[in-house]
Amino acid sequence: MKILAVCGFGVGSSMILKMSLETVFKNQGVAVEVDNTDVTTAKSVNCDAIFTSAELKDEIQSSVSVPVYAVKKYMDKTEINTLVTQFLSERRK
Amino acid sequence: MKILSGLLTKDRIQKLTTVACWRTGIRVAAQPLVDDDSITEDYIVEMIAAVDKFGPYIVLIDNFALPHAQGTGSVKRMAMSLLVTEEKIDMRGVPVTMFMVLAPTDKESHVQALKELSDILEEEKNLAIVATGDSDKILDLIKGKE
Repeated sequence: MKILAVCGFGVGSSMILKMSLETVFKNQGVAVEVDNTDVTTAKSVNCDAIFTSAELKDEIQSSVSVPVYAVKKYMDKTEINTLVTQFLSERRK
Repeated sequence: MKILSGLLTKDRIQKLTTVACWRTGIRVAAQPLVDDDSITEDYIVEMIAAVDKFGPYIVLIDNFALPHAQGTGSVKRMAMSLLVTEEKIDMRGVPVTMFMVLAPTDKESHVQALKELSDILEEEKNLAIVATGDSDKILDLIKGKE
């Protein structure tokens, strides 16, 4: 499974989000590959889900068919855990 | 725990009661990096423009922001700096008291520094230490001595 962590530039915040996502997926016992990238690249990369900010969610979702989740605070593992749980349960359907 | 403490040195940590707005917060936080020739003034403008364009998602956890931009041309040397304010500063609807400026030279070189930062801030007590703005305590923390 491949997950993208996306921010405006793909250099700072998205790298932090990638680390948070890796920890959360690991804690949930799910093997994933997480890449971080900028918003433009994200639209053209194959993946299973995208995690980004609320401001970028709609722009990305309009260009991709995979689910896009809005994270408020990229280091908040509680928030991210809730979103990952939601993603995994929706994926099972 | 070595990369971060090499980037965020004592002269790059500031503490103030308050600043006029989040833009001033970023500007003041980054000033030591202009003074020591790590970045140009342009990089400050780019960091502010990024929040205007993409929103306050650089607030990574409660009260902690990581202002940054792409830095192509405006960052001469990878660096970080920190401003801590006593009062909460509104950044487009989100409160901030810690402005940790990241000046990257490319997309990869700062990975280890961010990893260290992420590991440190995972613990609430560490975030509380950074929030005090006490440079000696912050330096001990990022050197792994606390």
